[in-house]
Amino acid sequence: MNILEFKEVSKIYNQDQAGIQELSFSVREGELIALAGPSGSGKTTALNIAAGLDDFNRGEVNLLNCSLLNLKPDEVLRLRRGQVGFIFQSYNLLPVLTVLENVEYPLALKRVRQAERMKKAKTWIKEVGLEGLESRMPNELSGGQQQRVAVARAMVTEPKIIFADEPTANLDATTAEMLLKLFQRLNEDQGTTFIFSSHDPRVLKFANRVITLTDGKLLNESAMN
Amino acid sequence: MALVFLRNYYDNFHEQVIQNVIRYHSGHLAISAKNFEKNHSTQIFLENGSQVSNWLKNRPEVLASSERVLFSAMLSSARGSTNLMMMAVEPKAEAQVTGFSAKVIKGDFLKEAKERSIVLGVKAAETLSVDVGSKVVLLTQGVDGSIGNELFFVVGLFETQSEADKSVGFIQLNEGRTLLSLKPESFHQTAVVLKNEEAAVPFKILFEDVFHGDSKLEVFSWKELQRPIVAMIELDRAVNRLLMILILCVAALGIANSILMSIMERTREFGVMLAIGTDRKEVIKMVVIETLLLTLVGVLLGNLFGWLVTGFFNQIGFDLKWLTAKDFVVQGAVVQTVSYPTIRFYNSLVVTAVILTLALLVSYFPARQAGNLTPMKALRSH
Repeated sequence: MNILEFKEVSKIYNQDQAGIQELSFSVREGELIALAGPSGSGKTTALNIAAGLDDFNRGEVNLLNCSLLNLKPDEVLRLRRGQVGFIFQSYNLLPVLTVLENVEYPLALKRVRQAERMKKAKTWIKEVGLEGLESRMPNELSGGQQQRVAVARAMVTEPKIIFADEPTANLDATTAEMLLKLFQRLNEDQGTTFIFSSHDPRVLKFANRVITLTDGKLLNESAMN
Repeated sequence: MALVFLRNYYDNFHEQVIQNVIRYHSGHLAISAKNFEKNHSTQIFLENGSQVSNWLKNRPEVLASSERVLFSAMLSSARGSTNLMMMAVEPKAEAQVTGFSAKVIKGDFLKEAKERSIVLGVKAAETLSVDVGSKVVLLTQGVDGSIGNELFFVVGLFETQSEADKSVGFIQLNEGRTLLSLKPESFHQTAVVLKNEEAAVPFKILFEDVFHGDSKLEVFSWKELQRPIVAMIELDRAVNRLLMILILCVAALGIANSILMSIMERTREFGVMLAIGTDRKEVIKMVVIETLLLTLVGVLLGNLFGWLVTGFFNQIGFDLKWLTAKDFVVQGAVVQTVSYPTIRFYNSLVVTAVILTLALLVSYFPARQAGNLTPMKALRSH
């Protein structure tokens, strides 16, 4: 069953710059997909559109059996809050909240009770190797640590699908390996679907399938081992 | 702070003016011979006022009343002369009605046993170059056209820091009657002070009802006697309201500007919140609540400083002399430049409620702007 479908989707930023052009692909539930391609190929744009963070000019996007075209902005918000996780390349942590509060925040939006929120948040902070840093503010963390907080925040609600934009870009080799193995374990144990954008060979190695883009168009799709 | 202090100041200022009118002029009500208040002629007087006086003495609403014979006179000493508005009064009754006796800074107010005593304001005494114990000659015209002429001894000097200090003098009621050739029990005016200022209008109606058959009498409330003062206060209140509105407009602009700046600086943060799945209404609610909390802190601090400033000037007095040069008089009523504002919690409540409402109104539109951001556009902003 497809969890995400792109049907001839185009996004034009301005007259000279097309983000993606008539891009079509689909992702089945439980897949671990990598969107590959050089800088400017449209990976991040495709990821943002797929997660309902950005709009598009033409085509159709179905996410979790919902056509994003037919959803109102508030319905897209609710869909994202309930079943979608997003890991930004630039972390995008809330600067006024501590590590623990940042990870707790999506659970608070889902009205999860505080005791349970704390428990889950601490579990995921431990999973990403940041135990003991719960009370730190984002500006007190390194880039790699902030990225791991962002990963914990995306994971904490146990969404059906997680989008990750260059998730290993700011991590050292050991931490990147640790996170990718965590993604793989979640994918295998819980069936969580992952879609990465990356040109990091380490990430591509973990993917079931690699969709390669160039100039906003689909270049090829290749299944990995 | 400014709003709290200004409201406290103006309320006190207006009350002070009203109290000055009541305590140094007419009392709450003035009962007089018909047309006396209009013409202020010594020829217009009540020949037998005992009926009125007795009725007033038996009314529970009345705190005090004072019969007065009022006339203009020329006062001369060895070194000078001046014109004064003379008030011939019963000392004890007058002391209960007006505040002059409490303002005597040298000597005493009139004493009934002491004949040919006169009390003057300090500035009149200065003009005449007299002091307590000095002799002065009072010259006036009686109601029958005769010349009233008598030697008086200065027994006291009062200082009200107003126009009255150079224009008002007091002598005994019976001596005033003699000077004007009036019969005993005659007077021009009875000033009445009530226990409760609010009772002035109902009491006036009652008086008119009781004495409706007496066409020689008329009664005025202080508001009717002091229409220019009432008008001045009303005008002043209107100007103050305008000033308050202007201050509130500036405050509203300040609040709106702060919120807009804050939203612009936090656009990316709102983008993250929306991207994670925060409801637009939650974002709007958050901005509005943040604004209200910040405003509440500001208003509480403003109130605190407002009380401190009010308390400070309550002790030392807030003097407008540097703006108006000196006290002034409106139709005989003193408007002092110095005021001693008091803390009034009602004003703080009004200011707090108005500013919080204003913050709620001005924060809503920027908040809606934050809630309507699209996540990616917000995240792309710097």
